[in-house]
Amino acid sequence: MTSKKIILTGSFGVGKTSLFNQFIFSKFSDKYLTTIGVKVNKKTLNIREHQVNLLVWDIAGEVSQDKVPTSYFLGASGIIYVFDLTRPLTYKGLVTDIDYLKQLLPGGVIKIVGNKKDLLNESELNEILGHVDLPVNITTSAKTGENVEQLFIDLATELI
Amino acid sequence: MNARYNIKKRSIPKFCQTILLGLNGQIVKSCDTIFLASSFHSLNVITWFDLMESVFPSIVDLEVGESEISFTKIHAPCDALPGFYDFSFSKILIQDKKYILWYIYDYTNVYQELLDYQQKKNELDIQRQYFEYKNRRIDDISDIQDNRTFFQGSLNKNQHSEYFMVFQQIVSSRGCLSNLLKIYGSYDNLCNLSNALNDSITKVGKELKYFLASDKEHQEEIFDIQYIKDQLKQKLAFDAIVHDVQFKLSYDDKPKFYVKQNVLLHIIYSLIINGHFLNANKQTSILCSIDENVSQSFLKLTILEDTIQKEEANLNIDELYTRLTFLRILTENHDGFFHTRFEEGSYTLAILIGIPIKFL
Repeated sequence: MTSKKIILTGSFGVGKTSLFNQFIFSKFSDKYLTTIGVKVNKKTLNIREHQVNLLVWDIAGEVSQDKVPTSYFLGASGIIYVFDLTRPLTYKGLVTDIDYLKQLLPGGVIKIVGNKKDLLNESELNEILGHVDLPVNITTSAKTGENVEQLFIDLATELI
Repeated sequence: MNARYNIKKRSIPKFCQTILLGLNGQIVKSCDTIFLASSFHSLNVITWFDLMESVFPSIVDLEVGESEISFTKIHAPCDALPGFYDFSFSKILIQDKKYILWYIYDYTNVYQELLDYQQKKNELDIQRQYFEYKNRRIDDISDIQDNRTFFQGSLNKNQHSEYFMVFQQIVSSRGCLSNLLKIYGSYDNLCNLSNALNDSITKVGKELKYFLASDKEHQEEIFDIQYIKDQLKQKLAFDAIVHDVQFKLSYDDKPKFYVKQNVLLHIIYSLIINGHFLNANKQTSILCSIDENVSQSFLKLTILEDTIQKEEANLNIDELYTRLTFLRILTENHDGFFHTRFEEGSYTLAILIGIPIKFL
């Protein structure tokens, strides 16, 4: 069995903890609960006959990634950068943040994720994606669970 | 960077636990001040600690003397640790053998206040961002409305669709505001909420400032000895690790512990460090002496020259040396000083632990 450390990061209130809870526990709550620091949990996925232990670090949201303690990224294999599709400020600094994360984790896999797609119709979603400065890997809804499992499967597949 | 230097840079945690890990991930020693890590003695730490599973390879790779690795504000890392903690790891050498020194600082109370503050702040920031975004959309539509006569006649089907979408945004914004007012009752209530929040922020900020202040006066001011007492009392009561405890919380009484032999080490690592908080005359010196003869070792615990307990220890010198090193680290981590005295020609080894007054 392989173990891979994954970091969930992004601005505050974008739904990192909701994605974490949906993925690990298949649960969702409408109530917003702030994270401070970090919470760690794991889930085992079966990818192409491989068992992969995903150790997911759900870290406190920061407006800018350079405010996140660098020790959190120690030993990480992948990063999931989450933004809120309905709050432009959460993807305003995307290019700077991703550049920073690439320096921090050279060779690591980084996924850019737009969350809360359940709040938008298709037309709105397309309009917003057109305004994001980097290609978005996947759009998710932690509320409905849409694409959440797929996000982690995609990431785990790239990591093994 | 030694342990004494580290503690000066940190705020004072309510509790600190020191654990000595072997390079195989098994616990060699633990003071068990916060949780009973010793009960996992035979297990590799990565099997019961998710966080350790993800960072252990990096910690093992540390070199002796290299800067410690720290993780702050770790929330509920395992069932036995339900609060907020800071971890730090470094590599040390004891008798030519390498170990991992793991400190756990319990900052649950402080971080809980920070969490409460952050929750309110983030909620407001998120609402503000939503409103700013909606307002921007409203400004956009106002511009469109001003010029409506100009291009209304030339709107095609797609433009109509987009126009309708923006119109929905306005309705949605009004709905948002209306819902907010429903929740808070009135504009006045919203203002009151804002004022209360400001007061709360000021209060938390002030407490944090005190907590983070390095001068002695502030540290004494915020140090909650009653909390320590309650926690210790609770721990003794629930864990039932001490056989028969006569334990008085009065400042005038000296703490007395009567223990079974098999919990003596727990007394050494846990109760001594906590026990000094309970002695009120502020001149505490704790003497832990080990008397050895040919067949047996005895461990004697003395507080203020009164022997509290004497038990058979059955130690060999290597274990003893490791234990002493651990005890020294533990004491220094609590900003104490440590002295050992070997008496030539005898088998007596004495350990003197001094705890500075500011921790009493």
